[in-house]
Amino acid sequence: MNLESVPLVALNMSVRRKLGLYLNPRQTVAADWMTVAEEMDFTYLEIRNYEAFKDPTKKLLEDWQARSAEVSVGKLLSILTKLERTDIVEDLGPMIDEDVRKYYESLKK
Amino acid sequence: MNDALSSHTYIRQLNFRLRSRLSDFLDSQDRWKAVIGSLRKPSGDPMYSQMHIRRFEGLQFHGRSPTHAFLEDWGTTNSTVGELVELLKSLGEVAAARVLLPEAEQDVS
Repeated sequence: MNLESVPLVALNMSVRRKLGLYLNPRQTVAADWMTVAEEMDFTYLEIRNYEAFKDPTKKLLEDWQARSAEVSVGKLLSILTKLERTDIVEDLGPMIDEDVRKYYESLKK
Repeated sequence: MNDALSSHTYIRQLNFRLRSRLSDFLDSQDRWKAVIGSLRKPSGDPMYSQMHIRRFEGLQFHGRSPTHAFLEDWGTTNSTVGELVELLKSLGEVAAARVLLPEAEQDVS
């Protein structure tokens, strides 16, 4: 399965909630939602405004998939890998795979 | 108290109480600085630069614990209890190492 061709809509709420759980807390040096937002090409001003949201990661994912054609589950994973958030990749990997599998099944119907 | 803890446990899985006990040992007299200053990436480069260390330093003025912040930050890389215990021992922080693993288990890793 080529994850680069899977759109972000494949990711269900529980995965998104978990992503927020890992990324919403601000870190001192390690990558948090702000660093991820920057990798998604959001501007400084946009990122500052996302600070007002209770769950900035959730909002970020929604806006990201809306604004660019290159957005995919694979791209999200490669951002997390590049930013060395190996904890997320390891913990949420199976959940994400499962959502992708369900997404492919729904396409066949 | 922490039966489930082994040298393979991830730092990010430590509970709040253990983190606080580590802070009790490492926050005083800036002992945390030696710890994070000794951390190395797989490439051999320092994990945290002098600039990064200053960021952790700044947290103290907001009443936050640098040790708490460092454990959370470093924990995102899938670092383990065994790695931290080895480091603490090499720095002579025996009491802090014992908080995580009793003496008997320390060499089994």
